[in-house]
Amino acid sequence: MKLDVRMPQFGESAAEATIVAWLVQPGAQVAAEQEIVEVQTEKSLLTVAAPAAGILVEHRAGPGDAVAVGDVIALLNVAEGTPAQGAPNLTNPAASASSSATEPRPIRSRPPRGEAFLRAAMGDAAFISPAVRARLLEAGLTISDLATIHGTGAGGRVTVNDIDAYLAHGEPMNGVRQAVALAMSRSWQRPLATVARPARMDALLAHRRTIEGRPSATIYALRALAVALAAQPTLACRLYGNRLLKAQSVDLAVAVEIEDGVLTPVIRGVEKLSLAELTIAVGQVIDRARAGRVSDAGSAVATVSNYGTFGLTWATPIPLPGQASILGLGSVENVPEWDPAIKGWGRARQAELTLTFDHRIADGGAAGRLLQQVADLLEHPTKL
Amino acid sequence: MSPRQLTYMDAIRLALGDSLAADPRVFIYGQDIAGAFGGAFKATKGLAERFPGRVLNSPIAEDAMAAVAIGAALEGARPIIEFQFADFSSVAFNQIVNHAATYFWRTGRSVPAVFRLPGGGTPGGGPFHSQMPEAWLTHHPGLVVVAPSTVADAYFMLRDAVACPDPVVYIEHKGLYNHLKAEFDPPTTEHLGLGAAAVRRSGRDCTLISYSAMVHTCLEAADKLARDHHLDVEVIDLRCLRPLDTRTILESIARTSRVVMVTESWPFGGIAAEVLAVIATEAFQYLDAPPRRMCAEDTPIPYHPELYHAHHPDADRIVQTVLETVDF
Repeated sequence: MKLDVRMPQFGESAAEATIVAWLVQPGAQVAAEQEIVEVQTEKSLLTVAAPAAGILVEHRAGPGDAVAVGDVIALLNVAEGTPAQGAPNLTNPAASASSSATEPRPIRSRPPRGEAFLRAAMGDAAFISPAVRARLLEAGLTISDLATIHGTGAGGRVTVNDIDAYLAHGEPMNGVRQAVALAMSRSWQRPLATVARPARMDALLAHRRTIEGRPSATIYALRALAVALAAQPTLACRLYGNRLLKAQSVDLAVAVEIEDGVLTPVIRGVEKLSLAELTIAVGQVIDRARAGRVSDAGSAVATVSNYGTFGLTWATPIPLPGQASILGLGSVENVPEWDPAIKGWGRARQAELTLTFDHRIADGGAAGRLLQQVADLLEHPTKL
Repeated sequence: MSPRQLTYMDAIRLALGDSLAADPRVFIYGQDIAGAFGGAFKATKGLAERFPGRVLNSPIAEDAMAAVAIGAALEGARPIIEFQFADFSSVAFNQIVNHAATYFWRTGRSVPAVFRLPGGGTPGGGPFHSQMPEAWLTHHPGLVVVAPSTVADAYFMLRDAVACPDPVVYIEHKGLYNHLKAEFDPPTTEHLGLGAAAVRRSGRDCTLISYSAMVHTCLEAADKLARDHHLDVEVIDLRCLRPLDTRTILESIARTSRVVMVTESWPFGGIAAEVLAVIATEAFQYLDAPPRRMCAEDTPIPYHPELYHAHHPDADRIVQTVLETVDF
């Protein structure tokens, strides 16, 4: 009798694994639980054991082949009636369940009283009813907020009445504040990391006087980020589940403080705009945003936040949901600089740059190199 | 004039008499309804004398009675058929569902006939004199099916049924006939239309939905829940089972997020299944607990009074089901 050996589900979220090396060749006898193949998942090197004793008939995949969890990797010739051990038939759980001959359960026309109704909340309090889910959304709460609400339902489940009792406190936040709160909560659910380095600002501060409209440091930062993202597009993308979508153009948002909130209007195709054009474009989108005519962040891949205007030297702002990073610009500070010409200390002007990014999309190296290029561009503004 | 104390049966008899008086096209046809007997439950007592030739005895042949009604309605009359027990209306099933229900849709001619079905259980009634037939009758498009629970509804829904251009199945509850009394004066009493459900008791913690006699059991359960458990339970009386007043149902679920539907008929494929399907589909986002139903046990109706009580939903079991739903 032939038995399929399937790629098992490992104790992680891997959807597939790659064959590294076969430890048993076709024709060889294997014992149940004997390790027969090495496979590599995203995170670890593992071995797969034979589900039963028998003769390995055929490899269905070779070294380097990526095989989805549940797909057949080998055929095993086993004694008639051998039940597979350890590795369940993943694609058809019913088939493996029925392989052991059990007495058919008698069918009762009506379950006895008390058994008929299985509580969804049984075992833990994780069940979220449709009404609770709808009320959470309405109130701008997230699933994680449930932990702070006292549940009075079965097993401590939070009921819709519990949410109403919780929400009866205080006054509702205004609309802008609620939108910011929702966006930040959503964004905070992903792994964010921050890289930082200083940039000399003397050249930029001199350069801006030569450009029409006297672009602000924010404009330079937008332009520098756009040029850097066009050259190093790792973070110029959006993540859909586990799929990456490369942005067609570098659209960037700019954080604008308004009363009780922050707006993030979007400038399209920043990599194609000169500093002077960008100065006009940013002025227009900020005016529109302040007038309340723009509320969405569009399809920007990143945002620039000049928190230096609040006198802050360093911060870790949170990128908007759907955006891969946010570039922060600290306040310009005077720092001592060794001047070899005079063999003495001179004055330089410097600002800290921070890049908070989605660590699912990029690692510290890629984010660091991007920030490095941004700093280099800001220090050499003629390249912009 | 002070309001009169009327029973549910008085209201039916009054509505029959007023319908005969108001419209010369109306006649009543049934077994043993004319003469001194006045029908098995005395619904027509005295009417044959008041309206000679318009209260007529039929043979014991329900299919023939329904067929007469359909033919008469097509010829311009307004027949009211009295079946002795709702259980026996199954003999006329073919005439009601294949002919009366489909006639308008096949020919464009409506069939304004009323079929009165004395339904519902009483202890000792047994399997042939206690059934509620609404599940099989509401299944068929083309019929209006109503089941009044109050003295006023017994009167007005019968008057409205006679006025309705579609065939109406009017399911009256035998357990209410002489037990349910209310002060009732038709000219001064406001009433809902034939197709509207009524909120009999307002509440915020759970909705009980029912119809016919079970509405009173639900109200009793709601009183117990308020007294013993400080729960504020809403009670909806569907009144009309087809068409359903889904708006009133869904608005109630939006207020309470929890629902228990109670019927004294069987659970399988019943009105409760239909109503809960509507709720699960259209009020999903309002639900905080699984919709529940509390129906009769899924066996034929027993004769023995003790078994009958075990078979029949009662206030205590409704209380228990509501508590499970609220504690979910």
